[in-house]
Amino acid sequence: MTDGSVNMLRDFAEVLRRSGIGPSPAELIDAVHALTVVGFRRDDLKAALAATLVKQIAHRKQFFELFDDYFKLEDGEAAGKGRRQRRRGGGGGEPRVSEELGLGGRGRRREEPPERRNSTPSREVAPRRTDARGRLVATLGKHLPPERSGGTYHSSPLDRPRVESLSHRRLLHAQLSDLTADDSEEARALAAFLARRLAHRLRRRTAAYRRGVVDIRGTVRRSLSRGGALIEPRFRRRRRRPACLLALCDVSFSVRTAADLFMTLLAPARMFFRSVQTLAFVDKAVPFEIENGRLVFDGTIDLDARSDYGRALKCFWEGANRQLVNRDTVVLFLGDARANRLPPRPDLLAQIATTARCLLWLNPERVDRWNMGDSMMAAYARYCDAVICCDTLEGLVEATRTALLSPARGRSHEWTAVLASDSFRRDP
Amino acid sequence: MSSTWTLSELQTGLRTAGYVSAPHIDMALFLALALQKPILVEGPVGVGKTELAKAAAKLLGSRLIRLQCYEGLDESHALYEWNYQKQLLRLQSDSLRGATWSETERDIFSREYLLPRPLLSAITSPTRVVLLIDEVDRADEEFEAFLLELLGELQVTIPELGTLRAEHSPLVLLTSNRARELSEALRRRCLHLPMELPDSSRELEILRLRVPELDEQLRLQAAKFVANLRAMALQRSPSLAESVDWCRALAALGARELDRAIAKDTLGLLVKLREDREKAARAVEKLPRKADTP
Repeated sequence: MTDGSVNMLRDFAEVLRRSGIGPSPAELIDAVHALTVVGFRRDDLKAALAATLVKQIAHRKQFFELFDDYFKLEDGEAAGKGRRQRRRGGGGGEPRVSEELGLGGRGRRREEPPERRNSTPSREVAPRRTDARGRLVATLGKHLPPERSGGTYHSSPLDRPRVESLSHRRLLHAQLSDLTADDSEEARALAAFLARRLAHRLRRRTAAYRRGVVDIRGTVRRSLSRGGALIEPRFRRRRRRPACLLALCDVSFSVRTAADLFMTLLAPARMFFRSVQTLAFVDKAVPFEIENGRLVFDGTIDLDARSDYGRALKCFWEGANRQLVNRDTVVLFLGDARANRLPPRPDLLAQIATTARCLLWLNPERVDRWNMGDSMMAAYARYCDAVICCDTLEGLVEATRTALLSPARGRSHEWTAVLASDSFRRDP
Repeated sequence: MSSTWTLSELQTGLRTAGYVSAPHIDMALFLALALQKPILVEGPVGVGKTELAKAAAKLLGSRLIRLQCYEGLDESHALYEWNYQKQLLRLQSDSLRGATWSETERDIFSREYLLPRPLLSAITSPTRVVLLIDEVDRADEEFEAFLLELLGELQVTIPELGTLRAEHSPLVLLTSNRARELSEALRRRCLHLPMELPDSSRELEILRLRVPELDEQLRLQAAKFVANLRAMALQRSPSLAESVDWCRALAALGARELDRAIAKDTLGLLVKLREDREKAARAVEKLPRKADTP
């Protein structure tokens, strides 16, 4: 394998790093080894680099685009050179990435003209490659955070999680009400990533709970077959009925972005609950799901109507959906509690709270706006086990984490910690 | 770093082994054999990840050693365990015949008292094996970290015995359903092979290979019906494995064509959630009624 091909791969890896795919040096070495056995046929090259350099499914599409961009530029120029050589009678033939870049393909490299043989491949292709790479990096730079678009970029494992980029950090801390349409798309993708990470962290957190406590008697009994050596501990699992989750989301215009992101974050809920039901409401409650990133309602709902919490609660509690609430149900309410001067009917919420295992309210408005104007948060808060402010994506993730831990908590004094730390609760 | 297989040989070999491959699958397998690197196969359930390992074992004529991962899996279940009962018996017999402790200690921590588990069996195998570490995302992070030495160096370390290196490098395949994110360290040591549900033409080819007894017309209808179900965005779309099972069921029932009655009776093989059954029933309603037999 020539220096030219190694340099080419190194440059391509740098482009990948700048775009956030970031192959490590070890992966780059694997790629070089792969090329020595695969050769330089375009499709093989692409598949081999994908297998060795890209380790996340989410990065594959971007990798293929970058590969096509990077090698298309070279190919186009290579084709021009090939034509020029043919005109000069200097051979050339079908343009090929490996040949034109001075790469050594396994038994596939053709006879080179004397002038090319005399010059080192890397020197020959360096200016073209620099131009091509320069154009590509200049294009990529538009999409990079400001401090990364210039200067040296060092990839490290810490740089890889997507939340680490500046734009994502901004999205995490921005007020949900201030997000633009473009932001919302990006925030949804980020929320999907955060949901997966949340699921992973919660699985670890709840592992000890699921495992239970050490059963001393059982452990001693088991050790008898091994001469009394306490080698394998035995655990006593906590017997608790698995909880069901019911999420009621206000999808009126003012909180629709929050509802959308909340549903994305709620994706891993099925791992922690026996069943998950989602209902949306503006002035009445209908079941809904997220399909292809969009809210899909199983029934008619007027999204442009003014939100009417009292009517929605009445419609829910006196309709067929009432059976969804029982002593195993964790009820999540997402809404700004703005009843538009209509009767709020907190008494119905009190009945739901009495029946359910626990009731959490997530409010996507800033705390200082609660109880201002037509906000009825205080009237509802007195019946909730916890009221959590989630005016940013970060807050929403934290609120979802709290909600997903609820099966392990139940309705008990443990909620006090949540109330004291990041919640607001006030009697009217 | 050499492989006796070429890409085209692998492709035809996999097909002979009953696996309809795709170019990126062939490439990953080829590189895994050539570079002696493990493959991390990621994708939803039932797309053929485990089948790939079985087909690879068949292709290479090797034994398949499978380690099914689960929460709480530790090295005593994955790598080795000392045979405590046998060690205790030895200790008792040695104390009766008055043997010294140094002699006893040397003996009871030898290979004779070791119970090899799948990973150790794969490493110490006298011939090349295919090691399938299935659903690695179900295991704990600690276990994932424990695997790094095996994946990176193809060796394991047992404190009492030292480091054991594989004589014949096993072909290692790890599968993940993406129940959780795997660590960067583990990803770095593996070749990455994403697997998605196949497109309709490849699915048809798979059904043709796996359920040859099914009528071609019925196979086409079945593939189209499954594609319709997947387009309905069910909470749990039918996987490829379920599609194959369903076609086998249709063949076993002697069906000639896909009508409403037989689809309704066998829908449980494709749709496994109560919430999805109502939606799937709509797709069933679009099928023709059973033609009256004369």
